[in-house]
Amino acid sequence: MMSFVRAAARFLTRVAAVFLLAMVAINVVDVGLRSTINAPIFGTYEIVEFLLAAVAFLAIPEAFLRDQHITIELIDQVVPPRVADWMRAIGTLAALSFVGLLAWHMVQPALDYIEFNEITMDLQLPLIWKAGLIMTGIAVAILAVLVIFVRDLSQAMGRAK
Amino acid sequence: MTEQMIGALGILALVSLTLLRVPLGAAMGLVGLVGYAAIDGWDRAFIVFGTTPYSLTHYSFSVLPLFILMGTVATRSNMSQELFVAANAIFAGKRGALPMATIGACAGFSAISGSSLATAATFTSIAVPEMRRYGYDERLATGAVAAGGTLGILIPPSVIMVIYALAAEESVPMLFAAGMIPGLILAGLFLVVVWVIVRLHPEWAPPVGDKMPWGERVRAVAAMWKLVLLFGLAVGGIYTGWFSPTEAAGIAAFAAIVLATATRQLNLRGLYDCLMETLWTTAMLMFIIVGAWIFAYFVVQTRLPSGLIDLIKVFDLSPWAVIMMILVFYIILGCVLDAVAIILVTVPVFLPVVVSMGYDSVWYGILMVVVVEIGLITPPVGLNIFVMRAQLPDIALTTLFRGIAPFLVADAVLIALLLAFPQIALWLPGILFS
Repeated sequence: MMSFVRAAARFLTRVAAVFLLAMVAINVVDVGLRSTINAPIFGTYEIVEFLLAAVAFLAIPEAFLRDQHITIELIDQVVPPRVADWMRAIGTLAALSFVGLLAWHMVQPALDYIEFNEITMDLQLPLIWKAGLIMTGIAVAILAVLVIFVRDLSQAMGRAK
Repeated sequence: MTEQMIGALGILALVSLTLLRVPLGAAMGLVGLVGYAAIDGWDRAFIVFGTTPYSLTHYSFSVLPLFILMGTVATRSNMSQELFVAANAIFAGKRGALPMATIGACAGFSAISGSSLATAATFTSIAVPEMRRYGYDERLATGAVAAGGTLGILIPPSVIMVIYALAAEESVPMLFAAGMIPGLILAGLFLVVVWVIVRLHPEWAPPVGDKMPWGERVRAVAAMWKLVLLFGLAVGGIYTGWFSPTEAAGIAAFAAIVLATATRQLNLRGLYDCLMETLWTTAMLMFIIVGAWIFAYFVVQTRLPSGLIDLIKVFDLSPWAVIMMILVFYIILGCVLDAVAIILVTVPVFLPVVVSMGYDSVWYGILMVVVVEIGLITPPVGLNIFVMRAQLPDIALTTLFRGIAPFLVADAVLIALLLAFPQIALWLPGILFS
């Protein structure tokens, strides 16, 4: 389970890296074409927004696995290690509830995008593509936080024994 | 229970959850959801909750990963070392030359990095060993790096300013322009602090070294051309009207990659690492922003800002007194929360209050950045200090905090100047956008 989630998270970050490079490239090409032959790329804003969905959300699972999300660790300095371990596990459980609830309630708006065939104004790109990228990041984030929760819980229980 | 009481309870719950180690983004999101539901019912709360992530892929947010990428590439390539050599050439022959050079180099690096942590981490590895080699006192050496690092978020481009701009719906170019003069003043004040320290404690700095020949100085300063080019693209391009902030960030990130590759400071592996680092940072910020946006919707529902405004009227507080109270609150908050969190949590509550009293939201943004900077170098969550400590395990944390103490006077002076003369922040944007 752990290695599968790590591999999936790393894969998504690599996909996001391709999208990030594409975001750099489209800005450079757009500005270049606009300033040289006055012919900017049509729909650049919409393309950048689609790329942003991947860049901003696909790396969330790996950021969790790398413990990069900001937590305030002041309490660790004043409570015994055992208590700190349990608090870490409870904090991760709260994060798990948050991403779980978020993913669940993101489904209906995504279904609405499909049902009403919502598209962007210029390029007429289906909004469900963007929603799909965001949901993929959040869905794998659930697995990543679950893995961390199991790790934190085992550590807390291990120290308790 | 009134909406404003629910709002106050929500803020209390948020502080409690973050102190209990719940990740900040999750804490803000959960409190925002429950609070919103308490006011407007679960059905509406879940709609806001579920649609928020989709609303955050707005074009204006794309400036964040692109500026972060530019800063990451600049940090990984040798630009910081060249800057240190150039700044050293400028100050050579003066007592306290190396700490002054460190501050100068940090100010220069801030113009391409956008991050305090990156600036402090970079110059800890470059400047501190050099200062120790020449016999500088550890307090002066580390204090100069920690203080210099904070310039990273004040001198544009600055990731924190972009986050403030997004949260406050303010213009990124206006904020960048507003940060320029206060950033330079703060760098100047830090230099004055070094000058005073070496006069009060001559034993903290070695005797004056040889002066550098002018030809050598000019060559060293000329080696800063990469920095000038990147800053010109990232910030200059915005004000000449060539690019939007997102385009400027994209072009500058591209130029940083090309420059670093052409000068053999970046290979494919290095580029891969830069991309990964950028994505993790962006994801971490985005996760907090999702939570912060949900929390902000809740704050709007509570009408907490209008309650605060009413309270100010009841007690007949002057705008000056309110700003002082907010500043004290921020300094206390800086002891428990980091800069991103402070801005995202407090902007929805305080900005409407401050604006209602006639203050400018751009000026307030700069004041906030200066105040949250202090939190980066003061205990217990001074992140700059902890980043330095990780690289200098043989220096006690107390030495690091003692080293930074004199530089806090410079921050206090800048805050006083900004309060007394708001034009320090507002003059340049006024000229550029008139």
